[in-house]
Amino acid sequence: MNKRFFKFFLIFTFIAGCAPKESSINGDVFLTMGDGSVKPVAGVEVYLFPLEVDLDSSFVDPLKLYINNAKFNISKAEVENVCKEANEIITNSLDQAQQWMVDGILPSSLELTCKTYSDKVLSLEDTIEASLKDADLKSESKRSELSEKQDELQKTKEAIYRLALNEGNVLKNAQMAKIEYSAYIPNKILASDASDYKRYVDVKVKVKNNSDYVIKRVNFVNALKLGTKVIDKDYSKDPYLVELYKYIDTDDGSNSYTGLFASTNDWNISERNLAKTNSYSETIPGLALGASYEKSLYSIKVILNFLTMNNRWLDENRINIPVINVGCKKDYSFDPACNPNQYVYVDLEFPDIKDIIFGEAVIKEIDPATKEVTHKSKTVDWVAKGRNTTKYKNSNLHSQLKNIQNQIDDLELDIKKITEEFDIDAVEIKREENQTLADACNEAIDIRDTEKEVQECLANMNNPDALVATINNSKTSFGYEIKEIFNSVTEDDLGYDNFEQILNAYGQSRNALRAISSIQGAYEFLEVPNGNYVLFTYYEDRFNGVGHWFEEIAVVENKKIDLNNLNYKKEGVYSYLRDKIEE
Amino acid sequence: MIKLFFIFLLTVPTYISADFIKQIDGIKSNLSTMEIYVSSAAQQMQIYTDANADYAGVLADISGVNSESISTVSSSKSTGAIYASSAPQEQANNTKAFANYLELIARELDPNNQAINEASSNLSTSEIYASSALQQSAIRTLAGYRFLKIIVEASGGNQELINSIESTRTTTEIYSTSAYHQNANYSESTTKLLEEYSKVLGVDSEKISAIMSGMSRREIYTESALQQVALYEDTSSQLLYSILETLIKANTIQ
Repeated sequence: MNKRFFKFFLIFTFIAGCAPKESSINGDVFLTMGDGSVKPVAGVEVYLFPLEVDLDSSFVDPLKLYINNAKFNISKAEVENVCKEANEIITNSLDQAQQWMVDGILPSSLELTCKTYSDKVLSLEDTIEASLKDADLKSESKRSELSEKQDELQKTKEAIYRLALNEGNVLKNAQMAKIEYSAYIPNKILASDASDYKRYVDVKVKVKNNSDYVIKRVNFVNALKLGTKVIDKDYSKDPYLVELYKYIDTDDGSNSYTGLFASTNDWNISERNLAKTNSYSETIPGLALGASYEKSLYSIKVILNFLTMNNRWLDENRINIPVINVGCKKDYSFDPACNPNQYVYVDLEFPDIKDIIFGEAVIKEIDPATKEVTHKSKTVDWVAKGRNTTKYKNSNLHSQLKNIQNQIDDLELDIKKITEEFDIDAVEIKREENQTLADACNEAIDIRDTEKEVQECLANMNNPDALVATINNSKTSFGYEIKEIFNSVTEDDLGYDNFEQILNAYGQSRNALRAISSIQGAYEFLEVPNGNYVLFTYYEDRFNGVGHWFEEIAVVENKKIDLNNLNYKKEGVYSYLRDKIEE
Repeated sequence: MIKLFFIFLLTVPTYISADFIKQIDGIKSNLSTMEIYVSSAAQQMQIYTDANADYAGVLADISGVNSESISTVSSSKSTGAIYASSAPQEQANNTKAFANYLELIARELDPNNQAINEASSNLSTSEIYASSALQQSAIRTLAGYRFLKIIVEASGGNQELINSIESTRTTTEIYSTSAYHQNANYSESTTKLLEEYSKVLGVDSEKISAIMSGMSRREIYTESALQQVALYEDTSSQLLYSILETLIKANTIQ
């Protein structure tokens, strides 16, 4: 009895000792947010990947294989089609490579033949380069002279253009001088209780066209003057003008809300302003000869109680700021009384005309198809007008230009003769012949190798490793095409939004242990065989993007492992695995 | 085999979160820069309504409004800004975007609320009769206020207080003699609703008090309805920033 009991005890001890030890792993998945609140990460898949050896061989390598196989399967059908198509085309290609065949096949020694032609091309290129150098050396003085003459030619052309431009400007300035320009501020009477938005005066400009052309546009200098001070868009650089600006800029009137010198507030009388409509509602462009046009160009602020206002800067500077009174009236008997000098504006000089765009006489055009009538005025080309002047026509610059051009032609002829002495063209023809042969020979190599690879492709369609090895070693255009197909497979084609989803799918394919976190974020793995594992899960939302937990753990006993801010990585798991995968 | 596929792995994207804090800080900093250059109440109204529309856009994003709808409003605002040639026109363009964003949020939070359709249809009808940018601005601010009211109610705001804001707005409306006054009335009501909304969302009560007492202090010195609008829009801007800051903090991992 004792002996039997002893035997049973030994067997039991042996079995118990050999049986794998198991432990349970549990914990909570939660995150502490910026305001201190704790957010349980509920309903996420938590994976426990066993590491039989180490992370690289037990996790990373199978992962790579998993992804690669998935991508291979997706591209397989397309690759097969390309291989079959290439198989059909290759027969015709072989016919084209007949001249390189020996006993009906393209030999493996073709590389040597191609190299002979390529070497010849290189040697001929060296010859050409040397000959060109010699020719350059011999014609050096001529080329130097040519370069000088070309500079001289360019300078003469510029001088001729400048002459036309200057003569044109003389004509334009004469026309501008004929324009009658005046500016004024119309009298205004403001109610005694006028609001801030009504306290402004308009500055009107008036032009009368006494020139010989139509006026298409008038541009004014976007600047005002007060004595020696110029007030323009750079006023903010001068502290005095910054203060003064407060008393001239208005939020209403012609420069409504944009500020007097805003970049968008260009002072001009535009083409649209000047256009008129005739009795047939047709638009006649420009300001006609003898006609006038008036426009409110900008507005100046009307200042309330300027002379009595209690302000240190004003008290110190008021004497140097000329102002003009604006009328004041009481609309109703109960309105406040007008004070003397209640409304004034700063007396500034009016802006000058910067430029005028003139137009030729208006011509009528009729569309032959629609019979629609349009009136057009072509902008005056002052350079062209300058070319019509006697001064331009009689200038000796024209004969100078002709002489220089003749000298250049002679020099170019001389240089050409020197180059021809070296017979470079004949060598160039030889180089081109050899290049053509080298290209055709290399194409034959491509055809030869493609034929081989196509056969391997068709034979290994169900053997990914062999097929990929062929493609990896390929140097042909066919191999490049297959690589492109593989490269075009994206994570979308695999059906995942991010790398974390790929890891989850990988976990399922490997039968890794999986737990789903509870609504409080708790997870648990029971009866986990002791060993090394990767504990993985991820979290994603619109505020924080995607982050993950990826913990390498050794399971030797029951363990509580919380996944929280301390071990959370604020980035995608791919950023962690990238280096390992790309090794 | 492995070598060939390296290039595939590189194409796997990393999800990039919307960097909300960066967005609202950008709006705030832009507003601070603009504040230096503006000199009139009209321009102030323009820059504050601009910032508020942008804040409302971020709020819509955070509230889960689909990005396509947000982009439509945003691009319409940008296009409108190109064609606006005065501060009131820009303000009208901004208040339109503000109301549109709030409508999207209201629809997200309380999709079956009939008041949303009513406010939307009221706005469309009023748009026909608005003859100036200022009038447009007023009716759009009113629409924005109505959508905000739905949002605050849906978020659990104090109903009694909301009713009292509404009642004050209606009473004041009777005495509003111009679009300027209407604007001021609607902007003030919007600010008050935003104050309540910020309380509901747990914005630090001391911060809210500081913003609101700042408004009361400055209110004494305002001389015109236009200045009042600028003040209310400025206060709304501060409240919106605090609301967004709180929401983002509560959802961002420490």
